[in-house]
Amino acid sequence: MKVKKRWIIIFLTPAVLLFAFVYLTSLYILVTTSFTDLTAGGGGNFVGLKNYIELFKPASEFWSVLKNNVIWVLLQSTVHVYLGVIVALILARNKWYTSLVRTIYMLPNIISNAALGMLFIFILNPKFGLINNTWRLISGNDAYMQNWFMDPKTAFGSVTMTWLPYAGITAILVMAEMTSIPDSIYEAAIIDGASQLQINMFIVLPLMRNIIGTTTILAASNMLQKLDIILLTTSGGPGTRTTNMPMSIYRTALIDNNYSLANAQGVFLILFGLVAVLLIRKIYRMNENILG
Amino acid sequence: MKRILLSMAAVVTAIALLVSGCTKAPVSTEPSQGTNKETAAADKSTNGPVEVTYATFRVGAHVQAPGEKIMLEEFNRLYGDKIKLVIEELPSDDVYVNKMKALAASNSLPDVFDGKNGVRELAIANGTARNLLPYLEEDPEWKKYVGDMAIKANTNEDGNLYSISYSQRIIGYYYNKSMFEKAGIKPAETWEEFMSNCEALKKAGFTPFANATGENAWTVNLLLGAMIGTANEAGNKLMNEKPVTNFNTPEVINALENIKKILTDYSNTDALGAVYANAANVFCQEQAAMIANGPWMVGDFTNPEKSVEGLDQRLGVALYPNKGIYSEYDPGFVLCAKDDNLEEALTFLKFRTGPFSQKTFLETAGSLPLTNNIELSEEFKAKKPLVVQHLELASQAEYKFKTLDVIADSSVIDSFAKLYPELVFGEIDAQTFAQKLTDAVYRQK
Amino acid sequence: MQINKIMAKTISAIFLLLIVCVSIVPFLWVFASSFKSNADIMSAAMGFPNGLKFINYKNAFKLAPIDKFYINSIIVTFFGILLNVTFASAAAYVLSRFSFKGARFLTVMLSMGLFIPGAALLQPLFQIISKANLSNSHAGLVIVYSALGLATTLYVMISYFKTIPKELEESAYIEGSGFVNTFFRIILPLTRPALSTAAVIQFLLCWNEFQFALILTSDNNVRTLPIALYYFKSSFASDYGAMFAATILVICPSIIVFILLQKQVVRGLVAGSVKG
Repeated sequence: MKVKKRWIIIFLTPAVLLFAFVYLTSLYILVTTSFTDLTAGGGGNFVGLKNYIELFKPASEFWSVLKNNVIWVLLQSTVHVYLGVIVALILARNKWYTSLVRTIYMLPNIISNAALGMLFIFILNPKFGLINNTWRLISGNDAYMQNWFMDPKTAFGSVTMTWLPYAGITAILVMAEMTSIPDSIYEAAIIDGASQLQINMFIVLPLMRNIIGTTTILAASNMLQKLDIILLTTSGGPGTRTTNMPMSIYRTALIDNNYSLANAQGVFLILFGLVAVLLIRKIYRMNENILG
Repeated sequence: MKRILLSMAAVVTAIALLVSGCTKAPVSTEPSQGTNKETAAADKSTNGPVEVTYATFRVGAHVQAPGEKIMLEEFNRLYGDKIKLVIEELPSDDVYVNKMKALAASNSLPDVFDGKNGVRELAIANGTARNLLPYLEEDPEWKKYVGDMAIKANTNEDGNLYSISYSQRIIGYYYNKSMFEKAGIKPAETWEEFMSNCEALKKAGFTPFANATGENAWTVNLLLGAMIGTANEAGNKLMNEKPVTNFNTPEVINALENIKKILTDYSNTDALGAVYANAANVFCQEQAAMIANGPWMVGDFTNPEKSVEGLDQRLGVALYPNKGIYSEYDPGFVLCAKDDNLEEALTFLKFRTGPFSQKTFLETAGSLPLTNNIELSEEFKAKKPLVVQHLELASQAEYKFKTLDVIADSSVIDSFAKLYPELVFGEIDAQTFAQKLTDAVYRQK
Repeated sequence: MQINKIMAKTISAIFLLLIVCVSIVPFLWVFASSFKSNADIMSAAMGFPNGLKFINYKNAFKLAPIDKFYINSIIVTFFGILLNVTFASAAAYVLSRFSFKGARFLTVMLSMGLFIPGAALLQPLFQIISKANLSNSHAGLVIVYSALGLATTLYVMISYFKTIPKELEESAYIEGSGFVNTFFRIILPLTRPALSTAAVIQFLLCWNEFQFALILTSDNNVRTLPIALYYFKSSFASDYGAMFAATILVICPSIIVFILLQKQVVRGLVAGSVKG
């Protein structure tokens, strides 16, 4: 038993040290500087809650930023995840095209965000972009002109579409889990006269609850990291219509040089992420597992 | 839930304990001398070349990348045995500014670097930028090539000089002569004529302007600045003061209304949100009659990869209405070297801003030299008449002013790309636009 | 009944087709653009009016130090995966197998990385890595990437260890096998699918990460591939053709790695998620 204890410590130490070195120290800096007036040019004096008050005063732009981010988290943890689940259900139980479609669906997740951003800029270009050109061809209206990313009415939706359909990771996670369902369950259901839809609805999906919860957490937390693609397509505009929290942090730190205010947003973003994860776990009644 | 919160509280306490125990004062502002400096000092004692750190964004597809390469090669040829340049390449202007800000915040800026887009101001704020006036006084030959005008333009409020320019920027606008001919117009003398010219071009079936509001809204902001700078004395003063603190003036609001008209009716249909490259392509492919930009673009007009054949023959360059033109000096290079390699860093700074570099960048990238001491060769004049015309126009101008990129800070410049679409789609009016620009001034730290 | 079945089949076929189109268009577009001239890309011309530009690939190597960055990316990615997977699976094994005081606390703490956004850590990490004299080194990047992927790998590994019956080890112990021996000889080989899953996810992180790579390095002998993509875009001149050629050069290894490992990945996740 003594030996085992020693080995437990030896096995844990590297990961804990790594975590402490990278995360704990930076979190410490992040939290402490959020109570100072640190800027790119200097500063660093304690100012109490000033940054947080600034952030949440009624006229602050941060409210609309927060609203955008909440909507994106909601969309991503519903539509995006369901899309991935539907693809998984269709592809389940190895068909000849399963592996091909799975690889293709993963492609957008493999291509770097910088390249994806450029691509959407060109595809949605109002003058010569693929979408507008196609619509002109179909509708016969040569004067059709929609500036998808810059029109205040379509900007948010257009940015959303750069990530919402690409649920490759969700799909492979769910598919993997589905292969663990014994064939006998399917066979029994078919003998009982259940349709494919009924099997999916009443047998497969309930068994998938855990993995769907997990992918929802992954998808939602991903929405708290999105930056490159927004930067390249709309850089958060028009106004603040497509600004999310990472974008706002980026701007506050690197455009406005206001590091302490950016760090206050960082602290808030982490707390926001924590709350989101806990909520998702509650909703999907996920088993007690590693997230406690 | 409760348990998780308790665990989280424990985690946070653990962080605090761990960090305060292990790393003392991780946010200290004491100047952290990088390892570079230590090795530099060591090298000096062993008589090896002394290291000088330098950061550059003039790499890859940048217009000045070829010139930069020639400049560096020549420097290494002349001084390579005594000075070793340690170069950090920062591809693209945004990447450069972002990294320099991060370096400024931790007091680890390179010995020599370009101080554009507010980087110089950060180096002044953290006290690492050196006053260069004494060094200029010691070296009359160098001072001659920098010139009094550039020195005056870059002198700080405190009377010190924290950067040395390397080129002057003169910016008018290019126009397509054959399109102008077909529309029966000539470059406008007044802004009313300018707008009616646009209408005439549109009637003749041309897109009057190649514009782009993305990134720093370069081409559109050149028009905006020219309208403000030539409106009257007050407008001209605004376009020459640094930093601007108030955009709520009649000149700005009036100019914004004109810009709204230009973006709505007289620009390429993808101007909103487009980047400079799109606007340049529209103009170079002869899909628009005008573009506002400087002499560095001239090389593109003869490049078959970028322009339709013979385009350079059909182009002219003009003063903005009311005889206006942009005339300014690049902020230039800042010296942040510590004492142990100051002499060597200064040698590089002198070379980087001196006659060889000025001449090299003139010939390879159309950067105009600081003084008349660099003469333009006949061959160059014959090859690039549009560059020479820029210089001639500058001597005829009555209103001179600076670009918004130089007089306004990054918070303001960043706002334009987000506000132009709102203006054009009628979400905000020109007055609100101007107010939001003024607000942005106060966001900058 | 029969009609319903056909309807369902048609609808799902259309749906799949749509998904495939939406996913493959970006890749094909980037691929085609890598052979186009700048002017063709910017007018979104169909086909190649100015001819196929194989020179884009040559220009990509000429304008950016892609060859150097390739080597650095391989080094950083290899060690980033090695360190991450070794550390995380060792910790995951202990945390999922033995109950001891603080086990729960440690698992919660180590999985925090899942919802801490990288953007928020940029500036603090820059300070820490500089202080530790790790800036501008492969080691600095390897450490940061290993840590960034810690939570995900830990999660994959813990759930997989949970599916392996405890009896396996117990019988090993009875036969006199030591702790370390049991882990390396008996348990670890069984988790090969989970290990490759974690490796692929970690691969994508190390291979594509840009912000930290830029901030934490300054020397071209250390920098990684994603930085190369920015050599083609500057304020007054851009070479989009070369940029997309470079993008293809960056994507290819990722696709190959995914295709090679996808069977393993899926198996890994299957067993790993049987009991979440």
